[in-house]
Formats: sequence, C-alpha cells, structure tokens
Amino acid sequence: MTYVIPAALCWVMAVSLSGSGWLAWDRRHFKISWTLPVLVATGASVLMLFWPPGVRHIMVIKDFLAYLHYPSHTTLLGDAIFEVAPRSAVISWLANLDSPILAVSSLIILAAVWKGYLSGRVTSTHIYLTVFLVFFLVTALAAHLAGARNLLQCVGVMCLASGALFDEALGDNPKLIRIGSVAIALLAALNLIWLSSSSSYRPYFAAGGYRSLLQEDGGRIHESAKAIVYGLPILNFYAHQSGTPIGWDAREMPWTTRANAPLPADVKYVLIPEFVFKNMPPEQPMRRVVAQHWKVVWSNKTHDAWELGLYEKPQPMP
Amino acid sequence: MDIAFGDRAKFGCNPIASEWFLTALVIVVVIVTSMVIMLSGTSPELSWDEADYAANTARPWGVLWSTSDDGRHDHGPMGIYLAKLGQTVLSPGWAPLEVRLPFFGTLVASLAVGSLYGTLRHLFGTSRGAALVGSSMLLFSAIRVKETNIIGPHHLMLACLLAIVALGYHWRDRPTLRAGVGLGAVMGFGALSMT
Repeated sequence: MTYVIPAALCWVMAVSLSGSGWLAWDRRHFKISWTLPVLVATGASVLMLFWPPGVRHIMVIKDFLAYLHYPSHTTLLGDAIFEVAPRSAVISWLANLDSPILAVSSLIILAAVWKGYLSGRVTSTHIYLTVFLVFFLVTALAAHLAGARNLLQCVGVMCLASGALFDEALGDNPKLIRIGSVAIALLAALNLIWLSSSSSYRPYFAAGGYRSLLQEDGGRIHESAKAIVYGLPILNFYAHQSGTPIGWDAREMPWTTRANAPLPADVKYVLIPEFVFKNMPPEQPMRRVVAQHWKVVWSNKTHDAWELGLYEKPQPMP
Repeated sequence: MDIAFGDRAKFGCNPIASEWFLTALVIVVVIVTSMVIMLSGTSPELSWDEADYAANTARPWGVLWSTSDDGRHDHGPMGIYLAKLGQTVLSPGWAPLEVRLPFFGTLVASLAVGSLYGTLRHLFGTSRGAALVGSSMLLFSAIRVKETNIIGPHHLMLACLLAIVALGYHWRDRPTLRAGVGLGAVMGFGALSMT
C-alpha cells in the first residue's frame, strides 16, 4: 500500500469538516485557502530537493496508481499461506498480535462516542479524529493485504485517538485515569513480552540461516547447478557482504500457493524456510514434491527465526 | 552565579517549565526504549524486503538521488537513504550490519512514538495518563515491533502520518504560512518515504 496521497486526502477531509479557513463551500463557491498551494509547493520542493525523479517523472502519482491497482499478494496468516488473504485477516492480525490495542481502542472510542451522544456535545476534535479513524480503517480493509505491516498506519491512528479520547471516556476522573493508564501500559508491554517468548509465535519476517549457509555449506554453494531460493535478495546480500561467490544459477521461488507453480526438472537445489515447507498448501510443489521427496542436506534452526532448509533432488537410480 | 541560581529556582517552581521538562524526559525514555526493543526484537538477519532495499546501499549517493529505477518497491527512497547513512556513518566495530543498516530508520520510528506523547499531552491537551496510554500502546505494538520491516517505508510513513494528524489538528483553524510550510514539509517527507 502507498499512503502519502491517501493521508493528504484524509487530512483535507478532516480539516474541511472540523476546521475553518482551509476549505469552504457556500451556495455558489468552493473556496480554497492560499495556504494550500503553499503546502503543495513546499511538499514538491522537499521532494525535488531529496529525490528529483519524484517530481520530474511524477513518480509519486505513478506509484500511487500502481498500488491502487495492485493485485493480491500471497501471504502468511496464522499457520497457513493464502494466495489472497481474506478481509478477516485484518481483525485476525489485530486480535492475535495487538489484542490490547484492539480491545482498549474499541472500548475508549465507544465510551467517548456514548458520552458524546448522551451529552449531545460533538466537538471539532471528535470530528477530526473520526475522519482519520474511519479513513484508515476502511483503507486497511480495502487495500491489498501483504502482511500485518499493512495495518501499521491504522494502528498508529487508533493509538493516537485512544490517547486523545481517554480522559473523556473515563469521565475525567483523575484516579481512574492514573490506574487505567498504568494498567494499559503494563498490558501492552506484557503482550509483547508474552508474544516474544511464545514458542508458537514467530514473526513473518524472522529470517535467519542465510549467513550460516554461506559459511557452513560452501561446497554446494559453489556448484554450478540450478537452484530455487526463497529470499534470493537475502542470499545475494550476505554473499556480497562476505565476498562468497555463489555458483548456482539461482532464481527466486515463485511466491504462490498454486499447485501448478513451476518446478523445472533440471533444478538440483531448493532453499526454503519453514513456513514454506510446512505451511504451504499440500498440493503446492514445494511441499508436495520437495518437502515430501527431496533430501534435506543442510538446515539451520534458531529460536528467533524460521528454520531454513536446503533440499537436494534425489539422483535417479542407475 | 546569582542569575544562574535564580534561574534554577525559577525553573524548579514554574509548573509550565516543569511540565515541559517532564514531557521531554518521558519522550526521551520512550525513544530509547523503542530503539532498544526494535533493534533487539527485529529479525536476526535482514528479511526479504530489507535485503532487497539494502542491496541499493552499494550504489553511490548521486545515483540513488537521481534515479527511479532502483529496487525501491514503488516507494520513495528515504528508507534506502537512511540504511546507507547507517552503513556509511556508523563504524563496523560499533555494531553488526543488522544494527547499523536499520539504525537511523529505528531512530525516526522511535521519534514518532516519543513525539506521540508530546502530541497528546500538549496539542490535544490530555492528561499525562492519557498521553501515556496512546504512546505506550504504540511503543509495545507487536505489529510495529515484530511484524514490520525496519528498513522500508512503513515506519517512516507512520512518523509522517502522526505528524500530519498532530500538526493538522494544531493548525486546523489557522491556515497560516507557517502551517502551509510545516504540513508541506511533512508531506514531502511522506512522499520520500512511501510515495
């Protein structure tokens, strides 16, 4: 997902509904403050200064349009890999990873809305925060889901709104606010500690073993053989850093759950992490063929990363 | 000496100065905590996306600045700039590559979380407890710490987004020159981070 243009549009909506002087409508005219062109010119100048192609080749617009029409992205959700992650993944990620944020934000926001309804008092702060909350929640639900990281912007807005509405939700009771805030901070910290120490949870991006492969398995790495690698940029990066030449004619593993994913007959080695050989659908060739029938010739397992396995194709019997 | 002592006494008694001092202290604590948990909680080796971004650090600054055909995943180059800055400025003896490359990205991400406390306390006018709720939930967010690449656009965009929400709120009724320049600069940074 790309966000600066959506964020700017959201801000325009928020200030036009809750602020004054930026944008205004009357019966005949749509008025824009002279400050808006200043804002756009400043943004373009900053971009031009640090990255000229962003303005000269209008990369900002091109990238935004590219992501607007971005196809689905295969991703890991729980213990399964999905070709297209279901929309429920948003709630699943929030509930499984950041349950304190989901629970506390929901309670605080609902309590603030209820109190606002009872008192009949809706302030510009309420409107401003509501626009951002709704916009980023809808964006998170509507955009392509490549992983829990796509929710980060929504999580940020939820935390900000929760803090801004916390006093109001607790009726401005100082004692309750003090106890509540300490309890929530502890809850959030404990959630992170619990997840970090849990044997059943491993972050999607926890990569490891590529450096060890280059150090420990130099013989095979130097072979002139065809290979399929998950994480070819990682292998190439560490090979470049360590000055280890790779003999393989390697290509990136097709990142798909499809049963007809290509596995050319002349491939000798496959290097894949645990979530591929365990969590891919059973019919996907990496699991159906490689994990089932090929021989593991090297593997690396640490507590803070996915196991990485090097598979070798069995030689035909003479 | 008398003036300095007088200033100290004045500072100690002035509730506004004390509040700003306390806010600054909390922000520093949050930033340092965030940096520690982000760098210690991240992947032991660079992840797929991070390695793809980091490969660009081998290119000269001028090439990164002037081209748009690099492996930037259709985002701005700021993540690559910060990774290259870490690789260039920080000594190899000081920390491993997995800390030096994401160091400045971590700093920007942590500044955003620390600033959230100040935003809530002073721009939204909340109590200290409420400001602590917002910033601590984000500080310890598993999606933020565990599931988001440090080298990349997401943390930088979050910093930009929180600044847009905060400054946009502060200036919502005041479309002044300062507001236009301030918000424009933040959005320009956002375009450099996550187009």
